[in-house]
Amino acid sequence: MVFSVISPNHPVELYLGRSYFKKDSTTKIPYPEARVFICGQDSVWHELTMPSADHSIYTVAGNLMKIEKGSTYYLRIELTDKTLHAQTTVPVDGATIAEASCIVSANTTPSNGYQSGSLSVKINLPQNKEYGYYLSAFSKVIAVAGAFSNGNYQNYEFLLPDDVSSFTLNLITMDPFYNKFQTSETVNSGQFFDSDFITIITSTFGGVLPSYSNIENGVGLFGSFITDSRQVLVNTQLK
Amino acid sequence: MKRYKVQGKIINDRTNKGIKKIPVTIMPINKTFDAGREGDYLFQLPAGMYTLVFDYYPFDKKEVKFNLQSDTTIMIGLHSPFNSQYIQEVEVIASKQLSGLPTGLEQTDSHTLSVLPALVGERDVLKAFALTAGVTSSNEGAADLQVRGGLHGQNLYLLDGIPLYSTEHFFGMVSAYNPLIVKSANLYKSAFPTEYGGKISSVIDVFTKDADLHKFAGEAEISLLTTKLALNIPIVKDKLAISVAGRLSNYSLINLKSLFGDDNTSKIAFHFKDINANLYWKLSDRDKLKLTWFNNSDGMDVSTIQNDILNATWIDNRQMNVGLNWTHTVSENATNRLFVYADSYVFDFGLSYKGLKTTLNQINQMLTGVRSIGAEDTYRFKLSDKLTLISGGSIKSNGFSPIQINRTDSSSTSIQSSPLIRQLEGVLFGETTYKVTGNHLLTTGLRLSTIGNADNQFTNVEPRINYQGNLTKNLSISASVSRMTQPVHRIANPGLGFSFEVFMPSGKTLLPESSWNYSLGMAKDVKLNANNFSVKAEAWYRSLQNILEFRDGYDAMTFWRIGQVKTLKANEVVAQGNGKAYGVDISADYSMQNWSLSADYSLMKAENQFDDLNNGRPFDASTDIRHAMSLTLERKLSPTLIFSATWQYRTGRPITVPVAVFIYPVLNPETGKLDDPYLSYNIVEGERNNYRTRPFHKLDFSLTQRYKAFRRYDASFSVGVYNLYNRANPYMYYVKSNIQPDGSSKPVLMSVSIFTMMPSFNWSVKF
Repeated sequence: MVFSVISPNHPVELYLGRSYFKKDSTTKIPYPEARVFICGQDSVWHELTMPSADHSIYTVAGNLMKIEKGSTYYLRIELTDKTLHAQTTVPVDGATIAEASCIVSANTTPSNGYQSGSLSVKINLPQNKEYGYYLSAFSKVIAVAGAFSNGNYQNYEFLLPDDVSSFTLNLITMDPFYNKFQTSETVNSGQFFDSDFITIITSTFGGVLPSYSNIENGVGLFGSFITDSRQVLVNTQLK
Repeated sequence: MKRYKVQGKIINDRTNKGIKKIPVTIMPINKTFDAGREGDYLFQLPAGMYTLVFDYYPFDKKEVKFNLQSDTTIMIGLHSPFNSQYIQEVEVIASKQLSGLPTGLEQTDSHTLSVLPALVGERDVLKAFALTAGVTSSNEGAADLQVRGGLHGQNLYLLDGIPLYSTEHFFGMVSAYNPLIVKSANLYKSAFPTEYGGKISSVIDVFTKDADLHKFAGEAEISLLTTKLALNIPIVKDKLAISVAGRLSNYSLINLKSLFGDDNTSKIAFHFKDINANLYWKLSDRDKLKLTWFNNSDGMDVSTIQNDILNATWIDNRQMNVGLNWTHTVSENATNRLFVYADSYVFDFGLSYKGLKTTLNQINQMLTGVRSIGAEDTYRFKLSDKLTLISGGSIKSNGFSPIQINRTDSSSTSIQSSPLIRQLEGVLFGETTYKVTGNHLLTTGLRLSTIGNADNQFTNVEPRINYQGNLTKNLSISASVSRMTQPVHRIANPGLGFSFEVFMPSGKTLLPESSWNYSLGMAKDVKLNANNFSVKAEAWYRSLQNILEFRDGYDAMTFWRIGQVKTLKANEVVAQGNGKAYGVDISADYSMQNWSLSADYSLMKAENQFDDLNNGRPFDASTDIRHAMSLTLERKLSPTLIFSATWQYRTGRPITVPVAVFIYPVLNPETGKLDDPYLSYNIVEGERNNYRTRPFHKLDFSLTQRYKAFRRYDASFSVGVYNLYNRANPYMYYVKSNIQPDGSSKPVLMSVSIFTMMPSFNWSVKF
């Protein structure tokens, strides 16, 4: 399996794994012979290397490769018996954050180092219907596009560390491949392992469904995204 | 004045058996009485000219004129069209006569329904059809039909002529047809008459009983699952009557959670109910009005209280239709039926979070629905003894609201809807049945339909040709070619569960589905001493165009999960492709004086090919059940005690299961780096429908005792056992992580069996 999502201003990383049924430890290197290449608009193939022998993660040495919005990138992975191919075009004109505010009540009692606040975000969504979007903060996804499809996101129970006065809010715009992969993974997540009661009676009778892949001769994802970030001040208000 | 005796017997000329309690009207004195239990009658009249009028569905109306001058005996034979069957109170066990009937037609009757073993004692017309050759259900316990490689959503389910959108109750285990009011039920697998259309696989035409104009009557029934009551109330004798039937799930008012503990903060409740009512108004001997109303609902409510927040989940499935039939006898050889109707269907699914001590109030709700109104006229004209004509047309206005998602929080409400789609449908149909020679009938017909709106318009031409002939008195053959089209698609997860069904019309992104159906069959009846043996076989081939399958990674809940209703196009969730199915259906019946045995077997193959799925390679359709067989034994142990048993076998059905599971790192969206730990799972299936479930088989039996309740009323009590030898038939499969002794986890494929051996009972009384 291939998993790589590239983005401007971020390092290029790629995970190359093998079926869990094969009992491989995730820290092993399942394909030591693999050679991984990525090529951009400049038609120069950059070979990715594995900086750690503990993880099957490949990266462009020295971050020499620059990812640009609107550009198409090609992936080639050479294995002993086959070659995998994929490509992605980095989104351009993605969604942007128009306004964002976070209010925490002074009466709120922190619990386990977290406090609850009210997060309001206004979002400009582009017309490209194949892109997908999500909001993240503190390195976690906090909302997917369905929660702000009208351009407004409101969360009255937004959890944030009790010691922060500001944080970075990221709005991710996914390319169509990443969007489809993410969607199918969301669907499949309700069908894998033991699901909750509601999920079972509403959905899982559909059976396990094929997941999305854009890797030729393999499975997984080679996608891309762009980010619009906004620094949000945490306002404490007295009630 | 001297009065003379008039006596005789009224028989069904197809079976030569007396017709029980059929109403007879004597004209011109306009007096109506019921014939006896064996169709016999006796009355006295003064000398004169009289006419006996027999007008009772499904028999052709008959008038017998006679000049009464002495005691007279008149034997009356009534004829029913081949596609109808009189089923009231058939109490004798007899073989079905199969020759002379189309081999692609299946019929069931109230007797079969009353003695067949039934899951939790709930008799069901669709489950009775699922025992016939060429028909299976989608899963164990499901009250749905897959006919000759077609899907449940490709069948036309009619209730008094009105198409039903949803036919399912209680996780799909009970159909919407209340068995108490079913008068006739026909299943067409081939040789489709031109008056039927809109679906590509089969037609299930169910008519409810007409209200009886003459007597007050009722029936009550209790099973493990439901309580039912039906009442017939004459309002104006010989003119106006109403019949009402209702069904309510026994557990509707019970919080199931309370049965399993003392947790009073949680609630789980399931419920379903349906009501059928029909008003029958005999305007004159030539004009009859029948007003029908059907309303059903099905759903569940689950709620829990945690941290002073009330979490609630609900599913509510509601369907309603109302229809008005006006049947006008134009002449002895012509009738006209005008029919207007309206219907609606809504599926409502939602989650809510309400703070008990705060202002928190979040609602996430998804709705889908259809509304339609239509009118249809059908004219039947017997031009001569050799030529019969049926023609008609219909117009229908549909309003589809495929998806609406409401998201409300404490301060705002967001409503996202897929656009309301309005479409107008017009149909013209006509067919002639020509008696070539003797008993050889050739029916040719054409159905033209157009559906759409200003943006999209689809026109469909559907030729239908059907031959039906008797080579000898007891040997018949039939052949047919039919084209069917389906402009409205049903998008739903397969199998049981609360079926989230989305009805999506053809348009810019989806083309109408269509099928060509070919069949060739024979039927033979043999008399072996006093015993009857009947057998029929039909070979069939079906090609399917533009049928739907979910794209990789999607299911019906995708709309809910990703929420982008406005922008999500139907063809991003489903793909269209082609399919083919072919096979042979064989049915045999053997009956002796007190017992009968039926066997149905089907050998078939169904295969699909979609350019966008499975890398374009053909794959087994989910309806590809290679072998399906059912055996039904009925034994009359005494005049009032009947034993019946059914054994079913089906090859496993194709499903898609993983061939590999990967775990991979989580993407940190802030750094773009792939972080430890590896928490994401990717499941890879490889080929679509790459696995078959284990074969399905089970044995059921029931024992029905008939008796007089309170020394007066006909009553019956049935007990039965479902899945007698407790076969663990797989109901669903899922992937589970099993923890190994060394602490590591290993994915394993698990099957779940739900329907173990279980008892059932059913008690009914007629008054």
